This record gives sequence, structure tokens and C-alpha cells, in this order.
Amino acid sequence: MRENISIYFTLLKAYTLGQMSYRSSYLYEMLGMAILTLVNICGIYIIFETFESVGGWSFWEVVYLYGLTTIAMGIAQLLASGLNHIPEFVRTGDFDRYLIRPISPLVHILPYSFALHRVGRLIQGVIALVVSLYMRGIDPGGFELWIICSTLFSLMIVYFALFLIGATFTFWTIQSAELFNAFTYGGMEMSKYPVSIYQPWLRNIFLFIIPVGFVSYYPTVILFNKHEPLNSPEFFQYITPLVALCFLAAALKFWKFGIKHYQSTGS
Amino acid sequence: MIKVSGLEKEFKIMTHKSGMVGATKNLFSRKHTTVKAVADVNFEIQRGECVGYLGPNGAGKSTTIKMLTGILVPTRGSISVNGITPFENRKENAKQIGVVFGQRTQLWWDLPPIESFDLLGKIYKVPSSKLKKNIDNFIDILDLEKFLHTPVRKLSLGQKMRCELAAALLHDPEILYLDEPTIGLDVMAKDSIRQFLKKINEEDKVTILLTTHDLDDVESLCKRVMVIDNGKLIHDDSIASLKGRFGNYKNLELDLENDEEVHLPVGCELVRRDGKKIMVEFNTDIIKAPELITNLAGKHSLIDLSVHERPIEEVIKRIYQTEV
Repeated sequence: MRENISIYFTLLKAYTLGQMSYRSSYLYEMLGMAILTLVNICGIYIIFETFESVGGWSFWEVVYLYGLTTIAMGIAQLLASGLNHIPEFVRTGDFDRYLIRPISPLVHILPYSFALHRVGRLIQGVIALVVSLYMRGIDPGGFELWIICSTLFSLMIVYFALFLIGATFTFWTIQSAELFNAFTYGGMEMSKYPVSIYQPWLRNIFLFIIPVGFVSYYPTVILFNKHEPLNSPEFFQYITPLVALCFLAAALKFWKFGIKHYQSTGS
Repeated sequence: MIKVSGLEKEFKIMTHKSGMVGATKNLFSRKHTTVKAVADVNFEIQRGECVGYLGPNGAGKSTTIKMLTGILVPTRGSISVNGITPFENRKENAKQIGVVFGQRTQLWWDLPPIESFDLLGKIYKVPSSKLKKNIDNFIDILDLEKFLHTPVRKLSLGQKMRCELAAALLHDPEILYLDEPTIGLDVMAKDSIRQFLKKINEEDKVTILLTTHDLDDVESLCKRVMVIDNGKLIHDDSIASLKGRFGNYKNLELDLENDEEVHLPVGCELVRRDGKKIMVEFNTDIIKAPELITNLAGKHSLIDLSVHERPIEEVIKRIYQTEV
């Protein structure tokens, strides 16, 4: 593991140095992201103008969920950006070279590109999170901090696992991977609101199959001391990191299974 | 060292319907046809051998190599490389092999070779003193000094191939797989690569399995040749026996003084004629070269003549034709 991490950072350094020349475009992209964040929060505000509360959750509580999602998604995208190249590697057969090396192909591919401009989005997420906590009047002590951090960690793990599953589908067809990404980004939109407001079938998908809702909703219920209308077992609130890690383990298993189906290309 | 038995690989190929309606149907019903790329292949390669692996495009050469390296999982059969099953223990297998794909780079496109070597050294966990020794050695024998600090994308094909070879051998692998290593190279570059391969095979006892279209590669490097066609091994023996397989044939090239009709004795066949230039193929079991030349010189006035071994291309073409 330590060796893998060291190789990851060595490769990351090598790749990132090659990318530095595109720096000016980062600035524009960050500006675009900032505007997008603002538009998103305005969107949430407009909803609350009309309804005052969503499923018993106030405006700032929803902004908190928005911040959580943005940060977790931002980190996951940053870590997983190398996975975006897998469809191309599979199509051209370049994936071959990652299979003839004595390290895991993931350690090799993950640092392949590091979308530094996504850092901008992360910062916006952090601002949304901090402001929402302040406006909601939460004074973060040890307990609150632990909940916030473990939720972020779990949500990030789940998103990363979703990206990994999506990339794995490309070993069969590119289309199936794109279809799956609908769940990833759909999940991102879902976790911006408390899952209790959705139809049961939709809610259950994002609670128990793709646990995006599970890891963001239950801990936040404790954080804001909300009434929990689903009457879920209380221990759900404490096992989110475990659920996230199990989901990641399943994704890794699927990835390994997918590699065995890799067909390469003719030469 | 390498033992392959009953090796098979099938690919499922999706049959695509064309057009908008067809594309929509493709989404819902997937029809597969199964294609056997490699069928019941058996062979053994001993330590220190250099084996040529020949076959026409799509015969199954690359598929075999990809199974040996662990990239592809065989449909049936077993592979053992030094006691390791490549597709089950990919990482273990990777440590003992070096791979060069002529049409695919192992180096980092945007980095200079020297940095690629350092990264590979890390990936293969080569101790730094040993890595330095190996790099220096390859810089020396492959003459890499001049472009060591140029990004790989700016190198010529020949320079790149020399770097690929160095990259594949940094971790002292016992086996080297080469898939079309001389493709697209000029004569000089080909020659330097052959000399290098000969050296590492003879001096360092690296076992080599080489696929190529260039039969000069095989003739100058390998004592043993395997020929695959339609996924089946159709020859596995020495080059000499490959040539001898269809009788002992030689070619006679003639320059005639006059553009006249030529009557050939028994055992000869006209291969091509270009005005006064004639190429004759003859079977040395039936007629010997001096006999044939005397015969022809008696009937025609000749300006020039030369006798050649039948090129191995011809031999292989014959094998393919008889198999079809």
C-alpha cells in the first residue's frame, strides 16, 4: 500500500508537470464554476421562496447538503480523473500496457490526469458548507466535526466507487458506461436534497442500491436533529463510513471482474 | 520455461445492424458471433531460445502473445511461464517479462526517455544502483545519449524503438516478448535492433519470442520458427525444415540476349517473365543447378544469371496456400 501511494505521487508529479502549460484556461474554468455554483444556490433559493421548506428542511440545511455534495464530488472527481481516459485506452488498446506492469492498473491510471481546475469547485463547496452551518446556528464541536468529516469521507468514497463502476462498464460497451453515469450524476443531484422527500422507489434506489442518499442523509439528520419520517433503524446513522467502504469494495471487485473481460484490439 | 497446452481464445463479436432502426435494435438485442482467434495451440520454449512466431494478419499471433503476457484471459487451455499462470498472477508474471509492442509505446509520450526509465525503475522496484547500471549500459549499447532528454513524441521511429527495448529490459526480465519490433523501420535501424537482440539472447541468455512480418528478422535471429494460420500452429521447427518442407527449391534468374520463347526442362517452373528477364523456380531433387544452366545455355544465349535460395516468404506463402 505504501509503495503504491509512493508510485501514485511519482506518476502524478510526472503527469502534472506536462500539463502546466494549460494554466491560463484553468482561470476561465474556475470562473465558470463559480458562476455555476451561484446559479445552483439561486435555484435552491427560488424553491424556498415558493415553498418555505422542503420536507421540513430549511434553506440553509439544504445548502449544507449542497455543500457536502459539491465537496465530496469535487474530491472524487479529482482522484478519479484518470478514469476518464479508460474508454479511450480500451478503444485504442492502450490499456494493454497497464496490464503488463507489476502494479495495479488503478495506481497507474488514476494519476494519469489530475484536473487541477476542479479545486475551484471544491472551494465553493467549502464556502457553501461553512456559511450554511453558520447561518443554521451550528457551533461545530468535536461531535459535529466528526459527523461532517465522516459524511464527507463516505460520500466521496461512494462517488469514487461510482466513477470506478462506470469506467469498468467500458470493458463491455462504451454505451453501457454512459448509461451508468446517469446514475452517478443523478445521484449527485439526489443527495443535494434530503432523500425523504422522494418517491419510495426512487428513494430506495439511492438509499440501498447506490448508497449516495444513505451516506448523506442519515448523518445529517443527527447533525440538525431532524425528525426522521422514514423510521429507519437508528444505527443507520452511525454506519455510513462502513457502508461506503463496502460499496467501494464491491466496485473494486467489479473492476477486477471487468479486466478479465478486456478484449484488447487487433494490432 | 514457457509451456502452452491446448490454448484457445474465442472472441464474441457483436453483429451490428446498420442505420437508425438497426442502431436502436442493437440496444435491445445483442447478437454475438463467436470467432476462434487461437485454436488448440501447444508449444514449449526452453530457456535461452529465440523463437520466431510468424503468420499472416489476423492469424492469432498477437492474441497468443497477449495471453502469454497476461493481458487476455484464455478461453481454454493452460499457460505456464516459469511456473506462473500469467492471467491469474499478472503482477508476478510482469516482473519476469519484458514486452515490446512495435505499434504501441510503453514510454510516456510527453516525457524524455530518461524520465520514463526512472519511472519504470520505480514501478518495477529496481534497486537504484542496479537501475543506474542498466540505464548506463543501454545508453551505451543502444546509443541513446543524443536523445535521452528529448520528449518521446519528438523521436524518430528508430530512436523510439531503441528506447522501447531499453525500457522493456530495465528490470532484467528473463523473457522478452516482441510484437513486430522492426515494423516501419529503415534497413539501418532494423539492423541495429537485430544486433542488439542477438547480443542479449546470446550473452545474457534472455529468452525471446518474436512476432514479425519481416522474415529477415527471423532468419538473422531465430533457429526455430512457429507458423500460425487461422489460429492453428501449422509449423514448429527449424527454419531449414520450414524451407525443406516443400521439396528443395531454388530460384534461377536469367537475362536473355533475345526476347524469345524459353523451353524449360522437367523440374522447372517459370515464376515470372519481364521481357528478357526471367525467373525460374527449380526442384533440386529433380534437376541440379549446373545441369539446368548447361541445358539453358545450350539453347539460348545468356547475358547474365544468378541462383538464389528460395526466399522464406515464398515458403510461407506456400504453406498458407496449401492450408487453405
